[in-house]
Amino acid sequence: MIPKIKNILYATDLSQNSPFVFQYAVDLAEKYDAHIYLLHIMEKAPLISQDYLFKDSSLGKALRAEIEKERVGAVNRIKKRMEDFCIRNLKARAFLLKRVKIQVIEGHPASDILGKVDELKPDLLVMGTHSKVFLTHAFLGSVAKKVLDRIKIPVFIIPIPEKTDTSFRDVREFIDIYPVRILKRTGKIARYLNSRKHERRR
Amino acid sequence: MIPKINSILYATDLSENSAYAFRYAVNSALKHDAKIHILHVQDRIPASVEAMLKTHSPTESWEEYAKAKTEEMKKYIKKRLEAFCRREFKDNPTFMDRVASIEVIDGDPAGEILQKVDETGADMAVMGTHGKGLLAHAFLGSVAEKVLHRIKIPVFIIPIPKETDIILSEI
Repeated sequence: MIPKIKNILYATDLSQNSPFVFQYAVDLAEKYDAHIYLLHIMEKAPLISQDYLFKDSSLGKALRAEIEKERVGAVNRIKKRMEDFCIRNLKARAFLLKRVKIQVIEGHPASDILGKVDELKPDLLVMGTHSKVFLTHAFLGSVAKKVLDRIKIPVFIIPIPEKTDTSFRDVREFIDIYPVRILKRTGKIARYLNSRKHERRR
Repeated sequence: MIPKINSILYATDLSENSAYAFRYAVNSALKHDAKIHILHVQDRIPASVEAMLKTHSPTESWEEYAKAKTEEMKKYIKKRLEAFCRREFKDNPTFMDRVASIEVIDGDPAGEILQKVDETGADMAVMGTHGKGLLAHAFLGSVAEKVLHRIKIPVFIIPIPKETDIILSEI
Protein backbone atom coordinates (compact mmCIF):
# COMPACT_ATOMS: atom_id res chain seq x y z
CA MET A 1 0.00 0.00 0.00
CA ILE A 2 1.73 3.14 -1.21
CA PRO A 3 1.19 6.15 1.06
CA LYS A 4 -1.14 8.67 -0.52
CA ILE A 5 -0.35 12.39 -0.32
CA LYS A 6 -2.98 14.33 -2.23
CA ASN A 7 -3.96 16.99 0.30
CA ILE A 8 -1.60 18.74 2.65
CA LEU A 9 -2.63 20.94 5.55
CA TYR A 10 -0.05 23.55 6.50
CA ALA A 11 -0.89 25.34 9.74
CA THR A 12 0.96 28.65 9.96
CA ASP A 13 1.26 31.44 12.48
CA LEU A 14 2.50 33.78 9.73
CA SER A 15 5.59 34.55 11.77
CA GLN A 16 9.06 35.20 10.44
CA ASN A 17 9.87 31.49 10.27
CA SER A 18 6.83 30.49 8.28
CA PRO A 19 8.32 30.98 4.79
CA PHE A 20 10.96 28.37 5.70
CA VAL A 21 8.33 25.85 6.79
CA PHE A 22 6.08 26.73 3.84
CA GLN A 23 8.84 25.71 1.43
CA TYR A 24 8.61 22.14 2.72
CA ALA A 25 4.86 22.09 2.16
CA VAL A 26 5.40 23.50 -1.34
CA ASP A 27 8.08 20.92 -2.09
CA LEU A 28 5.70 18.13 -1.10
CA ALA A 29 2.87 19.62 -3.16
CA GLU A 30 5.15 19.74 -6.17
CA LYS A 31 6.56 16.23 -5.79
CA TYR A 32 3.24 14.54 -5.02
CA ASP A 33 1.01 16.74 -7.22
CA ALA A 34 -0.88 17.67 -4.09
CA HIS A 35 -3.07 20.53 -2.92
CA ILE A 36 -2.27 22.70 0.07
CA TYR A 37 -4.70 24.03 2.66
CA LEU A 38 -3.01 27.09 4.12
CA LEU A 39 -4.53 27.51 7.55
CA HIS A 40 -4.14 30.36 9.99
CA ILE A 41 -5.87 30.38 13.35
CA MET A 42 -6.50 33.78 14.92
CA GLU A 43 -6.28 33.43 18.63
CA LYS A 44 -9.31 34.75 20.48
CA ALA A 45 -8.83 37.95 22.44
CA PRO A 46 -7.54 37.46 25.98
CA LEU A 47 -10.25 36.44 28.43
CA ILE A 48 -10.09 39.59 30.56
CA SER A 49 -10.95 41.91 27.69
CA GLN A 50 -13.80 39.63 26.66
CA ASP A 51 -15.15 39.84 30.16
CA TYR A 52 -15.42 43.61 29.89
CA LEU A 53 -16.70 43.38 26.36
CA PHE A 54 -19.63 41.19 27.28
CA LYS A 55 -20.74 43.24 30.25
CA ASP A 56 -24.35 44.21 29.71
CA SER A 57 -24.05 47.97 29.50
CA SER A 58 -24.64 50.44 26.70
CA LEU A 59 -20.92 51.07 26.61
CA GLY A 60 -20.31 47.37 26.38
CA LYS A 61 -22.83 46.95 23.57
CA ALA A 62 -21.40 49.78 21.51
CA LEU A 63 -17.89 48.50 21.97
CA ARG A 64 -18.96 44.96 21.12
CA ALA A 65 -20.38 46.13 17.82
CA GLU A 66 -17.25 48.00 16.98
CA ILE A 67 -14.97 45.14 18.01
CA GLU A 68 -17.01 42.81 15.82
CA LYS A 69 -16.52 45.12 12.87
CA GLU A 70 -12.80 45.21 13.60
CA ARG A 71 -12.69 41.44 13.82
CA VAL A 72 -14.25 40.94 10.38
CA GLY A 73 -11.81 43.50 9.04
CA ALA A 74 -8.97 41.57 10.66
CA VAL A 75 -10.03 38.29 9.04
CA ASN A 76 -10.08 39.92 5.63
CA ARG A 77 -6.75 41.60 6.25
CA ILE A 78 -5.22 38.28 7.22
CA LYS A 79 -6.64 36.53 4.16
CA LYS A 80 -5.09 39.21 1.96
CA ARG A 81 -1.83 38.88 3.85
CA MET A 82 -1.83 35.13 3.30
CA GLU A 83 -2.43 35.59 -0.42
CA ASP A 84 0.56 37.93 -0.55
CA PHE A 85 2.55 35.40 1.47
CA CYS A 86 1.82 32.71 -1.13
CA ILE A 87 2.73 34.88 -4.09
CA ARG A 88 5.94 36.03 -2.41
CA ASN A 89 7.04 32.55 -1.43
CA LEU A 90 5.99 30.58 -4.47
CA LYS A 91 7.84 32.93 -6.81
CA ALA A 92 8.76 30.94 -9.89
CA ARG A 93 6.31 28.20 -9.03
CA ALA A 94 3.28 30.43 -9.39
CA PHE A 95 1.46 27.56 -11.10
CA LEU A 96 1.02 26.14 -7.61
CA LEU A 97 -1.07 29.14 -6.55
CA LYS A 98 -4.28 27.56 -7.79
CA ARG A 99 -3.54 24.52 -5.61
CA VAL A 100 -3.49 26.57 -2.42
CA LYS A 101 -6.72 27.07 -0.48
CA ILE A 102 -6.62 29.70 2.23
CA GLN A 103 -8.46 29.11 5.52
CA VAL A 104 -8.67 31.58 8.39
CA ILE A 105 -10.58 30.83 11.55
CA GLU A 106 -10.73 32.35 15.01
CA GLY A 107 -10.14 29.98 17.85
CA HIS A 108 -7.52 28.08 19.77
CA PRO A 109 -4.55 26.88 17.74
CA ALA A 110 -3.99 23.32 18.89
CA SER A 111 -7.60 22.12 19.13
CA ASP A 112 -8.66 23.93 15.97
CA ILE A 113 -5.82 22.46 13.96
CA LEU A 114 -7.06 19.02 15.03
CA GLY A 115 -10.62 20.10 14.20
CA LYS A 116 -9.58 21.16 10.72
CA VAL A 117 -7.77 17.84 10.21
CA ASP A 118 -11.04 16.04 10.99
CA GLU A 119 -13.02 18.37 8.74
CA LEU A 120 -10.73 18.60 5.71
CA LYS A 121 -9.25 15.10 6.02
CA PRO A 122 -5.79 15.92 4.61
CA ASP A 123 -3.26 13.14 4.06
CA LEU A 124 -0.52 15.02 5.82
CA LEU A 125 -0.03 17.91 8.24
CA VAL A 126 2.98 20.21 7.96
CA MET A 127 3.98 22.45 10.80
CA GLY A 128 6.97 24.11 12.44
CA THR A 129 8.10 23.18 15.92
CA HIS A 130 7.48 26.64 17.28
CA SER A 131 4.34 28.56 16.65
CA LYS A 132 4.51 31.22 19.31
CA VAL A 133 7.24 33.65 18.47
CA PHE A 134 7.88 34.56 22.09
CA LEU A 135 8.92 31.10 23.22
CA THR A 136 11.63 30.36 20.71
CA HIS A 137 13.84 28.78 23.33
CA ALA A 138 11.29 26.09 24.12
CA PHE A 139 12.36 22.71 22.80
CA LEU A 140 9.06 21.82 21.23
CA GLY A 141 6.42 24.51 21.01
CA SER A 142 3.23 23.98 22.99
CA VAL A 143 0.96 23.93 19.95
CA ALA A 144 3.15 21.37 18.14
CA LYS A 145 3.19 19.17 21.23
CA LYS A 146 -0.57 19.33 21.77
CA VAL A 147 -1.25 18.53 18.13
CA LEU A 148 1.22 15.64 18.01
CA ASP A 149 -0.30 14.08 21.10
CA ARG A 150 -3.66 13.67 19.41
CA ILE A 151 -3.07 13.55 15.69
CA LYS A 152 -4.08 10.50 13.66
CA ILE A 153 -2.45 11.42 10.33
CA PRO A 154 1.25 11.71 9.40
CA VAL A 155 2.92 14.95 10.39
CA PHE A 156 5.94 16.53 8.79
CA ILE A 157 7.45 18.58 11.56
CA ILE A 158 10.02 21.19 10.62
CA PRO A 159 12.44 22.48 13.26
CA ILE A 160 13.13 26.18 12.98
CA PRO A 161 16.76 26.62 11.87
CA GLU A 162 19.08 27.94 14.55
CA LYS A 163 20.49 30.83 12.64
CA THR A 164 17.09 32.47 12.26
CA ASP A 165 17.01 35.93 13.76
CA THR A 166 14.67 35.84 16.74
CA SER A 167 14.97 39.45 17.82
CA PHE A 168 12.35 42.00 18.78
CA ARG A 169 11.29 42.16 15.16
CA ASP A 170 9.28 38.98 15.76
CA VAL A 171 7.15 40.66 18.41
CA ARG A 172 6.26 43.58 16.18
CA GLU A 173 5.34 41.25 13.34
CA PHE A 174 3.09 39.29 15.67
CA ILE A 175 1.29 42.41 16.87
CA ASP A 176 1.00 43.61 13.30
CA ILE A 177 -1.32 40.73 12.50
CA TYR A 178 -3.85 41.64 15.15
CA PRO A 179 -5.40 45.09 14.96
CA VAL A 180 -3.58 47.26 17.45
CA ARG A 181 -6.76 49.25 17.87
CA ILE A 182 -8.42 46.28 19.57
CA LEU A 183 -5.47 45.82 21.90
CA LYS A 184 -5.40 49.51 22.72
CA ARG A 185 -9.12 49.59 23.34
CA THR A 186 -9.04 46.78 25.86
CA GLY A 187 -6.51 48.83 27.82
CA LYS A 188 -8.82 51.84 27.67
CA ILE A 189 -11.78 49.81 28.92
CA ALA A 190 -9.77 48.60 31.90
CA ARG A 191 -8.69 52.12 32.81
CA TYR A 192 -12.20 53.54 32.34
CA LEU A 193 -13.82 50.92 34.51
CA ASN A 194 -11.14 51.31 37.14
CA SER A 195 -11.79 55.05 37.34
CA ARG A 196 -15.55 54.46 37.64
CA LYS A 197 -14.94 52.02 40.49
CA HIS A 198 -13.48 54.82 42.65
CA GLU A 199 -16.57 57.01 42.03
CA ARG A 200 -19.03 54.28 43.01
CA ARG A 201 -17.32 53.80 46.37
CA ARG A 202 -18.14 57.31 47.54
CA MET B 1 13.45 26.05 -2.09
CA ILE B 2 14.31 23.51 0.56
CA PRO B 3 17.79 22.18 1.31
CA LYS B 4 18.57 19.14 -0.83
CA ILE B 5 17.65 15.83 0.75
CA ASN B 6 20.36 13.26 0.10
CA SER B 7 20.13 11.09 3.16
CA ILE B 8 17.13 9.89 5.17
CA LEU B 9 17.35 8.28 8.57
CA TYR B 10 14.64 5.71 9.23
CA ALA B 11 14.41 4.65 12.88
CA THR B 12 12.53 1.48 13.70
CA ASP B 13 11.60 -0.40 16.84
CA LEU B 14 10.45 -3.40 14.80
CA SER B 15 6.77 -2.66 15.48
CA GLU B 16 3.94 -2.57 12.97
CA ASN B 17 3.88 1.23 13.36
CA SER B 18 7.53 1.40 12.28
CA ALA B 19 6.95 -0.99 9.41
CA TYR B 20 4.21 1.26 8.08
CA ALA B 21 6.44 4.32 8.50
CA PHE B 22 9.04 2.62 6.29
CA ARG B 23 6.83 3.18 3.27
CA TYR B 24 7.00 6.92 3.83
CA ALA B 25 10.78 6.69 4.08
CA VAL B 26 10.94 4.80 0.78
CA ASN B 27 8.56 7.24 -0.91
CA SER B 28 10.66 10.18 0.23
CA ALA B 29 13.88 8.48 -0.88
CA LEU B 30 12.41 7.98 -4.35
CA LYS B 31 11.09 11.53 -4.67
CA HIS B 32 14.36 13.11 -3.52
CA ASP B 33 16.71 10.52 -5.04
CA ALA B 34 18.09 9.94 -1.57
CA LYS B 35 19.59 7.06 0.41
CA ILE B 36 18.03 5.50 3.48
CA HIS B 37 19.92 4.60 6.64
CA ILE B 38 18.01 2.13 8.76
CA LEU B 39 18.57 2.17 12.49
CA HIS B 40 17.23 0.00 15.25
CA VAL B 41 18.18 0.81 18.83
CA GLN B 42 17.97 -1.93 21.41
CA ASP B 43 16.97 -0.45 24.71
CA ARG B 44 19.23 -1.40 27.62
CA ILE B 45 17.88 -3.93 30.06
CA PRO B 46 16.59 -2.19 33.17
CA ALA B 47 18.95 -2.53 36.13
CA SER B 48 16.41 -4.53 38.15
CA VAL B 49 15.98 -7.09 35.38
CA GLU B 50 19.73 -7.28 34.94
CA ALA B 51 20.18 -7.95 38.64
CA MET B 52 17.66 -10.77 38.48
CA LEU B 53 19.27 -12.29 35.42
CA LYS B 54 22.70 -12.11 37.03
CA THR B 55 21.59 -14.29 39.94
CA HIS B 56 20.43 -16.93 37.49
CA SER B 57 23.34 -16.54 35.13
CA PRO B 58 24.54 -19.84 33.69
CA THR B 59 28.17 -18.79 33.62
CA GLU B 60 30.50 -17.16 36.13
CA SER B 61 31.16 -14.15 33.96
CA TRP B 62 27.91 -12.30 33.37
CA GLU B 63 29.62 -9.58 31.33
CA GLU B 64 30.92 -11.97 28.68
CA TYR B 65 27.67 -13.86 28.51
CA ALA B 66 25.59 -10.71 28.16
CA LYS B 67 27.92 -9.32 25.52
CA ALA B 68 27.83 -12.49 23.44
CA LYS B 69 24.04 -12.68 23.64
CA THR B 70 23.68 -9.03 22.68
CA GLU B 71 25.87 -9.47 19.62
CA GLU B 72 23.85 -12.51 18.62
CA MET B 73 20.64 -10.53 19.00
CA LYS B 74 21.97 -7.67 16.92
CA LYS B 75 22.91 -9.99 14.05
CA TYR B 76 19.53 -11.65 14.19
CA ILE B 77 17.68 -8.34 14.11
CA LYS B 78 19.80 -7.10 11.24
CA LYS B 79 18.89 -10.23 9.26
CA ARG B 80 15.25 -9.69 10.08
CA LEU B 81 15.41 -6.10 8.85
CA GLU B 82 17.08 -7.22 5.64
CA ALA B 83 14.31 -9.75 5.11
CA PHE B 84 11.74 -7.04 5.81
CA CYS B 85 13.29 -4.80 3.15
CA ARG B 86 13.34 -7.60 0.60
CA ARG B 87 9.66 -8.27 1.25
CA GLU B 88 8.80 -4.58 0.91
CA PHE B 89 10.79 -4.34 -2.31
CA LYS B 90 9.36 -7.53 -3.76
CA ASP B 91 7.99 -5.70 -6.80
CA ASN B 92 10.96 -3.36 -7.15
CA PRO B 93 14.19 -5.15 -6.19
CA THR B 94 16.30 -2.19 -7.34
CA PHE B 95 15.00 -0.15 -4.43
CA MET B 96 17.35 -2.21 -2.26
CA ASP B 97 20.19 -0.04 -3.61
CA ARG B 98 18.65 2.92 -1.82
CA VAL B 99 19.29 1.31 1.54
CA ALA B 100 22.74 2.61 2.45
CA SER B 101 23.02 0.85 5.81
CA ILE B 102 21.18 -1.26 8.34
CA GLU B 103 22.45 -0.89 11.87
CA VAL B 104 21.47 -2.27 15.22
CA ILE B 105 22.86 -0.47 18.25
CA ASP B 106 22.17 -0.83 21.91
CA GLY B 107 21.72 2.18 24.08
CA ASP B 108 19.23 4.93 24.71
CA PRO B 109 16.92 5.02 21.69
CA ALA B 110 16.41 8.79 21.43
CA GLY B 111 20.07 9.59 22.07
CA GLU B 112 21.32 7.06 19.55
CA ILE B 113 18.87 8.24 16.90
CA LEU B 114 20.07 11.82 17.29
CA GLN B 115 23.68 10.67 17.15
CA LYS B 116 23.01 8.68 14.00
CA VAL B 117 21.46 11.76 12.39
CA ASP B 118 24.73 13.63 12.98
CA GLU B 119 26.89 10.69 11.88
CA THR B 120 25.10 10.08 8.61
CA GLY B 121 24.42 13.76 7.92
CA ALA B 122 20.75 12.91 7.45
CA ASP B 123 18.63 15.67 5.91
CA MET B 124 15.39 14.18 7.11
CA ALA B 125 14.16 11.50 9.50
CA VAL B 126 11.19 9.13 9.48
CA MET B 127 9.74 7.35 12.49
CA GLY B 128 6.52 6.06 13.99
CA THR B 129 4.67 7.85 16.79
CA HIS B 130 4.44 4.84 19.01
CA GLY B 131 6.23 1.58 19.41
CA LYS B 132 5.00 -1.64 20.82
CA GLY B 133 3.69 -0.29 24.11
CA LEU B 134 0.69 1.17 22.41
CA LEU B 135 -2.62 2.31 23.74
CA ALA B 136 -5.05 3.66 21.17
CA HIS B 137 -5.50 6.90 23.07
CA ALA B 138 -1.92 7.29 24.20
CA PHE B 139 -0.03 10.51 23.75
CA LEU B 140 3.02 10.76 21.53
CA GLY B 141 5.46 7.95 22.34
CA SER B 142 8.36 8.82 24.61
CA VAL B 143 11.11 8.12 22.08
CA ALA B 144 9.42 10.19 19.36
CA GLU B 145 8.90 13.02 21.82
CA LYS B 146 12.50 13.01 23.08
CA VAL B 147 13.81 12.96 19.51
CA LEU B 148 11.56 15.83 18.44
CA HIS B 149 12.74 17.92 21.35
CA ARG B 150 16.30 17.98 20.10
CA ILE B 151 16.33 17.13 16.42
CA LYS B 152 17.49 19.82 14.01
CA ILE B 153 16.16 18.31 10.76
CA PRO B 154 12.58 17.74 9.52
CA VAL B 155 10.89 14.59 10.76
CA PHE B 156 8.05 12.57 9.30
CA ILE B 157 6.06 11.31 12.28
CA ILE B 158 3.78 8.49 11.20
CA PRO B 159 0.93 7.23 13.37
CA ILE B 160 -0.57 3.78 13.12
CA PRO B 161 -3.01 3.59 10.25
CA LYS B 162 -6.48 2.20 10.66
CA GLU B 163 -5.92 -0.56 8.11
CA THR B 164 -2.70 -1.93 6.80
CA ASP B 165 -1.60 -4.90 4.77
CA ILE B 166 1.64 -5.22 6.66
CA ILE B 167 2.51 -8.68 7.88
CA LEU B 168 5.42 -8.97 10.27
CA SER B 169 7.06 -12.25 11.13
CA GLU B 170 7.46 -13.12 14.78
CA ILE B 171 10.78 -12.18 16.34
